[in-house]
Formats: sequence, structure tokens, C-alpha cells
Amino acid sequence: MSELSEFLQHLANGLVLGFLYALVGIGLSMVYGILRMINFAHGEILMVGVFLALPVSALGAPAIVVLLAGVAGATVMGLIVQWTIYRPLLKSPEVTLLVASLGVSLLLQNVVLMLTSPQPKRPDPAPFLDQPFRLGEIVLRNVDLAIVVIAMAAMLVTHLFLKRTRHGRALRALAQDMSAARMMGVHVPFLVMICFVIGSALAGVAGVLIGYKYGHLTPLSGFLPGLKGFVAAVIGGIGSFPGAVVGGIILGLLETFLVGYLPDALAQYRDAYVFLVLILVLLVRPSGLFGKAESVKV
Amino acid sequence: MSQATAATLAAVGVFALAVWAAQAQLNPFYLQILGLLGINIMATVSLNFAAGFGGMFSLGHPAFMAIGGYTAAILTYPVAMKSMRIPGYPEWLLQLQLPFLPALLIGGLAASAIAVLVGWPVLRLRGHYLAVATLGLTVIVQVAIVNLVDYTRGALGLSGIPGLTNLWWIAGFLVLTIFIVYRLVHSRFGRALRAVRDDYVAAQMSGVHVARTRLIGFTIAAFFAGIAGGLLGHLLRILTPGQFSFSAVFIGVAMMILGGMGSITGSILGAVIMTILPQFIIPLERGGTVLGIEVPALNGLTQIVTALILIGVMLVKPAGLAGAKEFSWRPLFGLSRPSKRGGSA
Repeated sequence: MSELSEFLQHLANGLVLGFLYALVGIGLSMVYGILRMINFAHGEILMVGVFLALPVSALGAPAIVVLLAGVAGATVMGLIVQWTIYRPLLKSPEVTLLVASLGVSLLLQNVVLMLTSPQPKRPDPAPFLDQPFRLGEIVLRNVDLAIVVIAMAAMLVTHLFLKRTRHGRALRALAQDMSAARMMGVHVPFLVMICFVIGSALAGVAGVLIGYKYGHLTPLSGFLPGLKGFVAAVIGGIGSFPGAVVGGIILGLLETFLVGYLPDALAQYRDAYVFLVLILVLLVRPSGLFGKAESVKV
Repeated sequence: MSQATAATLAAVGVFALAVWAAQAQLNPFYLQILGLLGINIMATVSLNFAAGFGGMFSLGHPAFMAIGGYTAAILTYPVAMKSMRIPGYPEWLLQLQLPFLPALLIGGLAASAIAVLVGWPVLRLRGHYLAVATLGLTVIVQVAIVNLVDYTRGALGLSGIPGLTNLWWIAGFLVLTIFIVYRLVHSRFGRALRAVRDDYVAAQMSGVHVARTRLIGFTIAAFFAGIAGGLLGHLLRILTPGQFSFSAVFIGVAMMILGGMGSITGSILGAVIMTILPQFIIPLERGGTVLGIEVPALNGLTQIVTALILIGVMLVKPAGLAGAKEFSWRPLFGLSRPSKRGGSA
């Protein structure tokens, strides 16, 4: 394998991973943009979504139905959490929301742990998705292609929703200035709910795709994707939709290249690098690539 | 000597008596739980010092405990076993075996050193970024412990640590921690720290060096967390990366939140409840018959209860059990005017 094709292979792998991070990061970024809240339970919403899709997959449903089931599962879970726990805390200090989301994260992890067997799970294999897909010398699988296509489609829909619809405009207004938006007649609790629905649905998409790609699902599977999604959102500039997408792709590429080109002894630290990147970004450019500088800083 | 000081000294005396009685009478199982309780209180008080009093909501406390714990354990580890189990260190370190106290203190200092290194960039961030960055520290330390097999024995865990911790060590450091944190909070430095937490602009205008104050506060908290980690390793005689995982973060936060951010008394309460309560839940987790009722194995029940407590406290009483209030002798003695330093020695 030539050096160039090795590079291209890493590039392709990194892009695929990046689209997954972007899908997770968008929800986190939107919620943070409006509520100034880090939703630590976002990764667990993803995990619950894919776990709810597993029985559907076991029935022999085609992958696209499993995907829709995962989206539905994650959305319903996100709605329940938002409605019962976050909504009453809407006006609380930021730290209250943060701690509550930590609690939700722990709760969902362990409820799933209690209700399922301890063996890691995977969706029923979809032979089509596992077939290799060649692009010159680059070898991927169809599932990788599916990730890119589905992620792009989901992002396009979200983008159109935000730019072209009434509620989308209201959401953007809310992120810019909550009290001004409220005075203009934006129904804040309803739109916060919409925001969680979008984020959870995208997390559900990511969850099922992760399930098909890696196929090793445990109740802890959502934790690291959730954290990395947040790092992606911070890189791109938290609160910014294109920022989360670009941030996710940058993070995916960075992780893949670091692991690919560092010696084996150092490559094992892939999860650690992500957070070193976070600390670096926050140091050099705390508002990220696309974010506007926050007026209050210490 | 004021009445309150006398009462505090008397309470410490009674406490010492209780420690002596416990050490003499209780079986190892209960001694271990009491020891864990003391360590949990230490860790929670130190977390509260950073998060409650300093407004630095750190999720990296288990990382500091891990650093302190592993450092201390490596320093007291029997020389005979060192070169076999953890051969990665240079020769002089392999030949070194320190007494307990210096090992503990060096562990605490190591945690502080990492806190300075991490805190210098991270503490400039606003509260919630700090939470994620410090959670990242927990992940980094865990990944490092798992992968540095020649230095930590990786996921196997560092076993065979000499069991140097007894209740006296824990009780002594506990009293010392509470005393120092209490005095710090009510010192000029502590007032500056709280001022930064409440309004950093106003604090800056009043001449407080914001960044330096936060960094010092963070470092002190890490020091006590490191000591707590050292005590933990020498109590359980084994350290594994799993002890300092995400769920350790949760449980620490739960102890602090339940008691109340910004209250030492609250941290003690929270740590006591969250240490004792699981002892009643663990039998349920294993399943079998409890109180004559057939119970299936309920994995993760402890964590579920912890999570429900976290969420419940946030929904019902976000300030926690004690709020920001402290225990004081004053109401007990009916003293009307607070003495200059409040109720403690």
C-alpha cells in the first residue's frame, strides 16, 4: 500500500467518524446555544435509541426500518427526559441543569444495564451494509457510505428546518437572545422541546449507525460519543450549527490521523487526545471556529 | 477559651474516643466501611472547596485521587515485589520504600502538581467548560493507568499495597482536612475565592487576582483529594482504574450536591448518607431473599438510587440538605452574638 493511498484511507475513515461526531455534536450544540446547558445525558439518549431499535432488528426488519426505530426511540426518550426533568428546571442556575443531566446519564446507563443481559449487543447483521466498497485503493464498507449519506441528509433536513421554517427561525432567535425572542412572541418552552427533539433524533441516527458500524453495544456505549460530540461542538463554536458539523469532521480526522500515524504505544491513548484537543482549542480560541466570542469570560 | 471552642475540642475528644473504641471492637468489614466513610468525607469536603466555595465545578476529582493514590502506593510498595510487578521505573525508585506519611504527602503534592498543570489553562474557562475539560482529565488519567502497564499494572490493578491505613490515619487526616478547609474558607483567601465565585468582575475591582485565586483554590482541593486517594489505596490494598471512573465522578458529585454546595457540614452529611445507603442496597443487587421477599439480581441498583437522588435533589431542593449553612454550637448554647471566628476552634 503506497503512502498516498494510506493517507487517503485514513482520510476516508476520519471523515466517516467525523460525520458520526457531527451528528452527536449538533444536538449538544443547539441545546447549549439556547439553555447554556451541557446535556451530559445526550450520549445516553443515543444509547437508549439504539437499544430500543435492537428488538426491531432482531425481528429481521431492514436496516432502514431499524434506523427509523432508533430515531423514534431516541426522540421519545429525549422528550421524556426533557419534559419530566429539564423543563421544571428551565429557570434554574446552569449548574443545576448540569447536575440533573449527570443524574439522567447515570440513571439511563444503569436502567439499561439492569434490564438487559451483560453481553455486548449488535443489530442483526445487514449483509449489504457489511460488503466492502472500493474507491480506487481505498477500502470501506457500504455502512461507511451509508453513514456519510444519511448523516448529510439528516443535516440537510435540519439545516432547511432552521433556515426555512417559522419554528426554525424562532429557534435561531432564541439562541441569539432569549428574552428578546420571548417578547417577540416566541413560545420558549415549546421551542426548547423542539430543540431537544431535533437533537435526540440526530443522536438516534448516530446511535443506529454506530451500532451497524462497530456492532459492540453496551449501556456505556453512549458515554464517549456524547463527550466527543461536545468536544466537536466546542471546536466548531458551540451554539453554531455549521460549527458542530465542521467541528465533528475535524475531530474525526484528527483522531484517525493521530491513531494512524503515531507509534502503537502512543496510539492507544486515542480517547485522551480528544480532550487534549479540547483544552488546546479552549485555550487558543475559546469561541471555536464559527462561534461568536462570549462577552463574559474569566 | 470560648464556650464554642471548648465544645469543639470536647467533640474532637469524643471523636477520638469513638475511633479508639471502633478500632478495638469492630470487625474488619465494619472498619473498612468506616474507613471508606472517612475517605469519602475528605474527598467530598475537598470537592466542595473547589466547586461549592470556589465555583469551579470540577469533574476531575477522581483523577486527582487516582494520582495521589498511585503515587503513594508506588512509594510504599515493598521493594521485593516492585521490580517484578511494576518494572517500568528507574532503578533508584525501584529500590525506594518510604514510610507512610511522606508517601501520602508526596501523593498529595503530585495531585497538586497536575492540578496546576491542568488548572492553568482550564481554569480560565467558564464553569461548564471547566466541567467537561476536567471530566476529560478523568478520562485521560484512566486511559493512562490502563495503558501504562509497566508502571501501574494496567487494568489488572496494583494489588499488594501494604495495608498501612487504619482508622487513626483516616480520622487524623479527616479532622485536619475539615479544620484547614474551614479556616481557609473563613480567611482572607477564602473570602476572595467566594467573591470570585459570586461575581468575578466585582472581585477583580476589589483587587482580587482572579486567575491566581482560582488556581490556588483548585490546587489545594487537589492536594486533599490526592491524600484521600493515598489513604484509599492503603486501606483497600489494591488500586484499579475502575475505582476512578465515571461513576466515581457521579458519586462524588452526588455526595456534595445532596449535602449542599458551599457547606462543609453538608458534605459530611452527604458523604455519610451516600456511603451508608449503598450498604443496604448491595444485598439487593445480588438478588436472593431479602427480608423474606424473593428479589431478582438487580445490577446497577446502587447507581440508579444515586442518580435518582441527584435528580430528586435538583428538582426538589437544589441547595441540598444543608444549603450553604454550617453546623454551629451557637444555637445549642443560645449565644446571641457570633464570636469573631464563628463556632469552631
